Amino acid sequence: MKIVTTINDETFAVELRVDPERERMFIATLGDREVLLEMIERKPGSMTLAIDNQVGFYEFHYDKGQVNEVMYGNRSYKAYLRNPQQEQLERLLEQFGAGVGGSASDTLVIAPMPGKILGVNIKPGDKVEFGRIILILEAMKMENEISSTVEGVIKNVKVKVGDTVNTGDVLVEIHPPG
Amino acid sequence: MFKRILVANRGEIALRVIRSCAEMGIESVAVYSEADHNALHIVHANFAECLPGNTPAETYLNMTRLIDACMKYKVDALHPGYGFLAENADFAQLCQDNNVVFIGPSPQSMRDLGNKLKAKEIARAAGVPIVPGTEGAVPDAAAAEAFAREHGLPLIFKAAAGGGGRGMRVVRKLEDIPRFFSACQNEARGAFGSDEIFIERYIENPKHIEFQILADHFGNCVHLFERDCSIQRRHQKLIEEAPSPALTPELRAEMGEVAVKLAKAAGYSNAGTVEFLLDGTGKYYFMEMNTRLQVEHPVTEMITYVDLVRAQIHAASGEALYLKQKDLKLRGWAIEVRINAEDPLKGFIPALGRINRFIPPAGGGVRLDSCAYEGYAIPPYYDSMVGKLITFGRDRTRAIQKMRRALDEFILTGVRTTIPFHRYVFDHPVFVSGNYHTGFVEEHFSDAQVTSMLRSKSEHANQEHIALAAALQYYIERTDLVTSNRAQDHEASHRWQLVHRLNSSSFLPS
Repeated sequence: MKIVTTINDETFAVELRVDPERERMFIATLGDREVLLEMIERKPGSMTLAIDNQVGFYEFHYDKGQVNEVMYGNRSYKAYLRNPQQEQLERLLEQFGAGVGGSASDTLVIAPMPGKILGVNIKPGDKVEFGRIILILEAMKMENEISSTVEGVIKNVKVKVGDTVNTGDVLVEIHPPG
Repeated sequence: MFKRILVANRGEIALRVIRSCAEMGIESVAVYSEADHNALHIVHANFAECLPGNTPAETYLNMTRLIDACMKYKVDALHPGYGFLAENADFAQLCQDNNVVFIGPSPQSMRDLGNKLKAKEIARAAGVPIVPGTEGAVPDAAAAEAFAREHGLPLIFKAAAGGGGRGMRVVRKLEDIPRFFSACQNEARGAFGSDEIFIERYIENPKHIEFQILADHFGNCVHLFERDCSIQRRHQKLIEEAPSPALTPELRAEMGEVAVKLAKAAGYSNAGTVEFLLDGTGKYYFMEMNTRLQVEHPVTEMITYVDLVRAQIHAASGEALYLKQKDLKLRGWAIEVRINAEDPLKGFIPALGRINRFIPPAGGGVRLDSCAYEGYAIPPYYDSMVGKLITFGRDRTRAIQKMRRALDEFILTGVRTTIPFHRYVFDHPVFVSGNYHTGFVEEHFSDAQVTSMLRSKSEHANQEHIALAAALQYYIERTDLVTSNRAQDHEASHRWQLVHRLNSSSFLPS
């Protein structure tokens, strides 16, 4: 995936892919260089990452679901990220009147794998922030936490504890704030 | 000696006092507001009493509540820290009336030295140099002009009843006098209800040099050398060092003697600070005396090996001063930076919030006096200072090297702090030379300089890593990356959250 990243006033074109050989490793292309990224720890809104073997702690702050600030060490950096392919897709969708543009569209949380719902932590009308754990899904004898990828209000909860779901089933609908 | 002391303060200074009490085997009583229920000073005190409410007036400034707490816990003495009631003579009197020893000077010397004109009078009588100026109020612009012709320019007009810089005008040209005089009068009348103006010679770009003194009830008094507090922003100190790079041994001895002379003339006891302005030619002038422990007292402790809080407690308990001037030696160099929850890159606006990560620097030559910890939310009702980082070494160069290293080591996220400002200052040739004055921030920390700092080479390397990390976060959020989610591995560091997005609609910016 190509991601254009602006940090403070400087723009970097980053291309990212998963390292197929090794777990938790990513390969980034930055200009004519390849950089190895190792994910050491990840929590909602922050990660500990080794970049070219240099370990750092990065914390992300969001505005309307978009990263707009990164804290690194003891400094804060303005951030702006975009994906040109994504923007192109959006433009196309808009042109053909696909009706998905704008803030009115809801985010659907879907089942990433088949399993059984063990816990529902939210109900319609609840406000959720990015990273909030909303459901627990048991799959392959493992408990998986499913967190909200956006900030918003829970519009609809389509599952209850004990339900069996399949990959791709819609679990929750989240309405964007405002 | 006291058995139990109430600490009438919060934050790092409450903790600082509690620590000395613990070392001396004295029990401590902490007080805290409702907003401070998660404060660290409560954890380390022997007892803690809640002062209902949040605002300073309801809590840390509430004399009745504090005296009640003193009675409830049957304390022998009260330590006021700095700020809040530390320089309130009425409160010191109230403590005395309730048989609680106030760890500080007598109410009378607090009153005398707290009044600007009275303090100047004491200084003048003791032969301490003061900034030349009018002895009383100036009636009109014509009198001001006559003073200017006699004493020269630049001058400063000040409101007699004023404070905090309100009404002040710096006069550099004779023709400005009538206009500035009436402007100063109008502002003073509006702000303080009095249009009395006095004039002082304006000291251009001075250094702020202060001397730490210690005195007992028997008239013994010593000084513990000076601190240089010239890195300030709007009269708020940001960096302090001891000793000052600007003082020769001769000048140090002379100013120290003058400070002791002033304290003796005021009948002072306990710890205090005599503040001077030092001009570019080596002339110094008494400014004021602070009748309390200073925020920046640790730098003095590091270079003299004297625990000032312990010394305060000994003096307040009626013991004679054990320190002799001839035994006091300067050892090494110490520098302190104030870690405030403020954004230095946006005009130092307060930046409150929760501290998400807190990995403080440590190692040789590093001292941290702080009330912060991981997960601590800074309450909005009080000061923005969350700690003081102090480094010390054999000489100034080593203290600076340690500070650079300590600042680089400091991981503190969630709130923005003054750490990047300090990092900038410790690389700045003017600061490193030692030849800096109170105008440093205005001269060397302009928006343009901040921008060029952000564009520096080392910053570029940082930004590259940050761009990669942010891009990775973006990438993971927008792809169906499902990885090891072992249930039994709940707290394990390699567990990733599940992130999933159905389709492009959820990518759209809202």
